[in-house]
Amino acid sequence: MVDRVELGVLVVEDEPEVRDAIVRDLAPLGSVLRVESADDVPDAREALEELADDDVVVALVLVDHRLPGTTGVDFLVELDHTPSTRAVRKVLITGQADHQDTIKAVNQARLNHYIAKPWQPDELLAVVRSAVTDFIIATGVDPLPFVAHLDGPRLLEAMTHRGDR
Amino acid sequence: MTEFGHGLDPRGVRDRAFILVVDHDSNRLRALAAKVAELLGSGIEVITADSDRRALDLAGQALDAGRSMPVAVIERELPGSGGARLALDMAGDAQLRPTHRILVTASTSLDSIAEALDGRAIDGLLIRPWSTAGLRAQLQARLVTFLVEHDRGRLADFPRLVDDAVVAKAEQRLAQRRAASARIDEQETHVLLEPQLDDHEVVRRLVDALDRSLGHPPRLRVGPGTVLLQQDTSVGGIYVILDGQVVLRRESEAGVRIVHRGATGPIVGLLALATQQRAFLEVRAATEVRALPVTLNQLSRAIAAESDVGPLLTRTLIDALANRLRDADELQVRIDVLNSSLEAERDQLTDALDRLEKAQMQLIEQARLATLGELAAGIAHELNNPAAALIRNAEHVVDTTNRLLTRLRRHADDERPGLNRVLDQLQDQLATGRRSEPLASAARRRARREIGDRLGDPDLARRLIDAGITDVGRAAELVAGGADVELLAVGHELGVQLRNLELASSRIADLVNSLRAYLRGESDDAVRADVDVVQTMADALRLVGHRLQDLTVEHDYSAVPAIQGRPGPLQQVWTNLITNAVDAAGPGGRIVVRIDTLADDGTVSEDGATSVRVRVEDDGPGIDSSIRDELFRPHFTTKHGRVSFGSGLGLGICRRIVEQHGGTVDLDSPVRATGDAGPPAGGRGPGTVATVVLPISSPPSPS
Repeated sequence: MVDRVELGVLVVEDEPEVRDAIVRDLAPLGSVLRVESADDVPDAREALEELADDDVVVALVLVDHRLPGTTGVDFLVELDHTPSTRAVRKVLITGQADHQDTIKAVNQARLNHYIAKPWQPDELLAVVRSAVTDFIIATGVDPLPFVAHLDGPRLLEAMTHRGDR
Repeated sequence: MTEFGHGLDPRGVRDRAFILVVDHDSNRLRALAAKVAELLGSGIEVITADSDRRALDLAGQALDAGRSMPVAVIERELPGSGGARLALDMAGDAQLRPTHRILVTASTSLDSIAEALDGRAIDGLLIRPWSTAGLRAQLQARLVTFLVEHDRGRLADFPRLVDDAVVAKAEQRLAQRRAASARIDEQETHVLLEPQLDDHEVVRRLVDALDRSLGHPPRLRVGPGTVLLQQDTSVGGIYVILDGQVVLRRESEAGVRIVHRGATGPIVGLLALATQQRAFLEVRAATEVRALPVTLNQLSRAIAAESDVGPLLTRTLIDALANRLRDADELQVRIDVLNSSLEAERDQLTDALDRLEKAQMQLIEQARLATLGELAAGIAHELNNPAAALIRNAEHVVDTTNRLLTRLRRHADDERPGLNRVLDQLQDQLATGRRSEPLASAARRRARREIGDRLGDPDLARRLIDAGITDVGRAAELVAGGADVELLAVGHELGVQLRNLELASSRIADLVNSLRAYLRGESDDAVRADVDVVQTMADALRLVGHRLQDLTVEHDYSAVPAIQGRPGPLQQVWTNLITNAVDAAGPGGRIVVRIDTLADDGTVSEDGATSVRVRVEDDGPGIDSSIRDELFRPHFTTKHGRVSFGSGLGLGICRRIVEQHGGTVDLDSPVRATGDAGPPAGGRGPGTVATVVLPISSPPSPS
């Protein structure tokens, strides 16, 4: 009876050109993922609310580290410490996170993936596919609608296990 | 031996011999003289004198006249030099010496007459007040002794004083006296005690003694290099070196030490022999050597036969040991001195090592920065071509796309009229896409929601936004009109992407330019050019642009004339000051850069301006005036293990560069120094102003 769950990806990047490029590169997944963007962390929080209002389940946040105000890593730590967003997959896409910041992201935010700028579009897509697949499997979302566009084999295997329940 | 010259006439002696009594006190003198006369009887005359002068005169005259003076009785407390001195003087006079002198003294202390006693000037002491018996005893002893020695015949003249016992005693006394003075005057000092006896003398005497006792044993003659005594062997005798030089050596872990001959003396092997040990040193002939070898047996015989040999050997040994000991003492002192200076040197070395390490760290840092500099220069050069290609091609893409669309339009006109409209739309969308400011994400989301709600289709709404349509009404209109939203979106996106391309390329190009300008200063030391301070500041701000994201940066530039200088190094200075300001202000802070001109008197002025002033202000915590000068000292800093571009040069280098331009650089807190600069907004801190003043007309002084 439940409609297919709409999954969302939030891109947080302050430079418009880069933001456009990321969003554009994620276009191939547009049929199964709703891609939204935010300019900074306060904007990102707002966006998450709006998405929640639209009943979109945010599966992945893709953040740049160097943002005006709160940094990307700190935002990821915040997300990880908030129950409602703890399951969200976290990917850092950045050219300016140093050693310390990265360690923090891994240890305190349970960073799932790190993409260095400039990124390869194939890599970006692969990472997003894999991360959202993880989210689906971890949170028990119905995988069937996503099999064609994400990591099909893994999702199918997950379905088999679901069947056992 | 004294001579008592004139022949003795038994009858005439009475006329010749006399006793001298000396006292300044006339009563005492009379009493003493009377008693002496009484005791001695008529056999001898008593002559009195009341002073030492008088005494000497009288005595001298009388003796010159052929008389004799057996005894003199002298009062100690004579005025002038005193009786003891008189006695000494008499003892020192050949003529007066034979006289026996009795000193009369009230004091029982002998201190005051010690010299006279030591000099054997006094033969008897009489303590005042004297008794007759005491006086008699002294007189008797003295007179009889004198007569026994000089004039035995006269003894008969004094039957009251003379008897056999007294005579015998006197003879004994005489014999002792003779023996004592004879020993001291005639015999030599024992060789052990004789001072200033040099080794030659010792050797000579020893060799003589050995020859005497051993019957002139044969001498040994060896060529240079011959080892006379081997180190660590046991010694069977000695060598007396007669001619030539020997070298004494000792081999040890510390190497070979050569001991000078003087340290051992002319007799070799004595120390080892005396202590029954092995030879400590090797003895080797340095030249041709002539020596007298003496075995232990021979030595024993010689010592037994000649009394001198033992003491001579002992003397040699003592001399040698004394020398060695002195050497050792000196050595110890020198060692102590060396030790303490070694300590001092070690402290200095530790210091120097410390400083060296610090300098090394600085050098490493410098090398790292130099390498980075080279890298940056290399990257900058390499980036030139791709950057140029990027910019040019971006423009070309725009141009080519437009020409493509124009070209297509021609075909459209001819074959597909409907296409015309499409191409128009595309070109329009392309143009608007290129021109449009990017939409804030929040606005985009809002527009999408609005349009999505209105049309009931969120995906369509998204595509309309992508086409640059954010107005709900317009969106509805287009959709109602059956517009090809996808076409519109593609066109718009193409325009936006072209715009992004152009923007990004020009950013790269600017960065490369700024970098090149920065690096140019490093290589062209002597080249001076017209420098636009505003331009170099803009370049600097661009270079560190990535760090200014979180801050508010304002600038206030007046028109300033060009100055003579080196743009690269100046840009370094700006970069450094800006970076410091960024660090001080922190995220959310505020930086203001002001450029204006000053007149000679330091007031702000446009005409008649003689210098350009650059101020970089921040609203950070400010600088303590006590450490302000510290900041100008050269040092390198790295932050989080990464050298930030522009920082780490240090204010010291900034000052140097500025001074090379004939200018000044200063840091001040709080920001109120120049009146027209108000405190930064927010009251976050007193802040800091870095002020650089550069002269306009006068060329910078060569460093």
